[in-house]
Amino acid sequence: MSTDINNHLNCVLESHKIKKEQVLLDKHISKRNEIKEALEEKYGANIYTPFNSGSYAKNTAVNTKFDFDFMVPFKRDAFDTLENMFIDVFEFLEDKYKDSAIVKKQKVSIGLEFYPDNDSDVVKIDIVPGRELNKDQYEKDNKLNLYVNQAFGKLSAGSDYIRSNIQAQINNIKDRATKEKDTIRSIIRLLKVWKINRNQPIKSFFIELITIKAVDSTEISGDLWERLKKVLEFIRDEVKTVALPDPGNSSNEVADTLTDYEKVSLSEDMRYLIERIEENNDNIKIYFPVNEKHPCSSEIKNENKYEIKKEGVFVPPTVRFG
Amino acid sequence: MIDRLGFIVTCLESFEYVQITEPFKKIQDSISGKIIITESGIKLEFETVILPQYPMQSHEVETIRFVNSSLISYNHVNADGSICIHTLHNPDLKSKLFYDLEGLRRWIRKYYINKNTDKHYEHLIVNEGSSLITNVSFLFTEVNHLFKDGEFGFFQYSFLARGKEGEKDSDTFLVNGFMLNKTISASSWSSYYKNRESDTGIFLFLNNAPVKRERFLIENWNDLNNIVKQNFMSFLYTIKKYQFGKFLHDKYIPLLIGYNIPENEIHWQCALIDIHNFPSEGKDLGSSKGWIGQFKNLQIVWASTKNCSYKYYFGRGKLSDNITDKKIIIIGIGAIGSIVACTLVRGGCKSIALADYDIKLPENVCRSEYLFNTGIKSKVIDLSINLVQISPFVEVLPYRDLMDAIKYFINNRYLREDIRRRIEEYDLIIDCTADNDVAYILDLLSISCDIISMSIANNGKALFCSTKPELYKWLIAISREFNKENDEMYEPTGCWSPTFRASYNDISTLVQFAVKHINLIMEEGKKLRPFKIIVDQKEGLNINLCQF
Repeated sequence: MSTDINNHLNCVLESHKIKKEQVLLDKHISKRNEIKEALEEKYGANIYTPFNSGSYAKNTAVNTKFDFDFMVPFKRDAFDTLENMFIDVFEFLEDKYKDSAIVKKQKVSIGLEFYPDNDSDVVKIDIVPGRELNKDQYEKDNKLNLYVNQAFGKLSAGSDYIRSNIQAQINNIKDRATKEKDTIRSIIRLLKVWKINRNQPIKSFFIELITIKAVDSTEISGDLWERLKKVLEFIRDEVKTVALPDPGNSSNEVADTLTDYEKVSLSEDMRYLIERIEENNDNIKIYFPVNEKHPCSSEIKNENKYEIKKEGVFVPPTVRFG
Repeated sequence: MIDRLGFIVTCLESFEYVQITEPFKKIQDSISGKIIITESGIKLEFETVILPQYPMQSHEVETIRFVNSSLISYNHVNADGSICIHTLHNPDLKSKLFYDLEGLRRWIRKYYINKNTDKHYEHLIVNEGSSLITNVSFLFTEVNHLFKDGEFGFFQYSFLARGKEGEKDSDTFLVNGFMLNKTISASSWSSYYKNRESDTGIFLFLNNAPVKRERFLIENWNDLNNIVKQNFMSFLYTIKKYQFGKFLHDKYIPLLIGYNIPENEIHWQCALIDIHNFPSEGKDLGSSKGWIGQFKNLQIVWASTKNCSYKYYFGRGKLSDNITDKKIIIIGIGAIGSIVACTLVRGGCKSIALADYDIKLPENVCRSEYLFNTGIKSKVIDLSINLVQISPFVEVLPYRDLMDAIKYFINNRYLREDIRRRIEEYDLIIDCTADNDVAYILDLLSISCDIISMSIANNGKALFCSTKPELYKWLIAISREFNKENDEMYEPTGCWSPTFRASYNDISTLVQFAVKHINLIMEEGKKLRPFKIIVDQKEGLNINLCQF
């Protein structure tokens, strides 16, 4: 029987809800609080209150690739340079967590990946240090300069820092995602499911902004699939030329985080995705799979107390020859 | 009813620019006479011979000859003085005669009056050794050396094969390299050919080709007397005196004579020195002035040479450089893998590794690229030989135990990184095993190079390819479309896995389609994405490609 696309998409959203992973979420919150306290103790009056800045904060998270982004705003006088700020925070975290986590420098953040606990759960938190532009200005404008780690390449303009209002970024997306739950939030979360499942090199921030752009540029209506399809079509047709200014700093062009080659590939991803689903409803499952760990009630067929991965569910059926 | 001779004469007389100067008559089965053609005020006389096949061609050559041996130095004139013309097919004798005469007039305008030269290089006309009992051909390719005028020395050659040209035996040799300052500048053949047992010949490089009448290679040894220097003659004298090494057909020393041709290329001709009738001798200058070497008045026996460099070997068609320059490993060389391998090698690929634990059995032959006459043999060895027999430019590495070793050690976290590094030496991995373990491992290793996992389903009516990222997930997703129950299985006798029924034609059609698609994607520099190819036979034959 052919798949009911809308039922399936609703099931995808349901199975990817953060609350389905409450235990893991609690572990992240607990670890985040621990880091927050440690940073506040270490840097004292030199930092403002750290805050969540990732998809969890923006209400657009899914539960299959779970991590926290944690923004740490420093005062202007805390460090001479952004690089010193980045290195100091890295060294502090490395020293504190070297026995319990992999601590690594990333492009604008310090990645903490804690070793699996007794439940095999892994807590991942990215710490993003930033520094206010001028003394005491942060409380007025929320603007921060982020250090860009040279090992990951300079920005297109050749700069070694990013200036943005992270709070404005979060609020912009969170507000829209919360108010327009059935369009923006659902579609962003579905696109994230696709991105994670197909291991696409696209930033979540890019997906969030282009979805909002699509909603603002075209008439989005109809059932969930029709709404999703409109956004997919927008990406297919516009991604090569679309402008996606950072809501925290309009001179940052988020569209530039993809190369021209990646934009063409993304456009073609959308083209083939739509074609295949229109051709056969069942193909929706290829692009937007249910999180098998939390299947919807309608999809639970048999109890499998040994959690054996059955043929046809997790492994390829034996239909192919070489 | 007018006969053929009369009809031809009537036709010729009807063209106002043709004047018959010697009446046409029938000689054996041909018709011949002389005509004068008037073109742009120029009159040229041609002995005209019309063969019995006319107006049809014979061996892709026109069967009408316009011969004037005084025109031999002009472009597009054959050694016998016949003008080289090619006109369109026409079964009507009068029409064909008209077009051929128009072709002759075009030749007069272009090459006789305007003295045009063509963009593409026209090789010299060589009177190749009709006196040889067995024909001799040398195939040469590029070497990494800039030859200088007058440079000479030894070269190495090896026997490739004995064939037949008509009734005559024909031996083909490869030029393997040139000995230069005690080092060997090897030809760019693959190591399989370069490392063959070789014999020694001599070479001489001249900036300009040794020609007579501009387009004809010299025919007499003494034509070289004004071209070569005395140091080469002394070298020849040493060769003559000591006569070391093994001789070609027990009597010849091959002398390669190289010269520059357009586009920074060089061409080699090969004169055969008969050791029993050596073409050079010493000449006493008298009055104690000493001796000089000189060539005798003796006909040169030229062997045939062919520039067989990569550019010409694949000149008629090849795959994109974006594939051929890649270091490729094919894992699994059953029906699909062997066809992929041969297609890539015929397409010009230069580096192919093969990995398969299996042996080739007689029942494998009908739908793969294996041959019956090599018997039961390890697949990687058998196919490696096939591949180097197709192309002299491909390096093939056979691995019988590669996947066994990978599976054995993959669960060892420390060795996993080594395995990944080893596999990442390749630019492109083509998995044709249909083994889910292999796809899973390739995905698990997070390999940075391109990976394609290719399988057949639905009794050879579908082929699908999974690619990175998420190779294994794509495999699951696409293969779910195919139903095992639809497959008609072939059950060999004994305890053996059943296999699907599909012919070589079924499989190779889909594999060729897939390779064509992959080539196009790589040529355009696009992202290779998963795809399936489905054969639809409901209303005739349709083959559809769907990308994901």
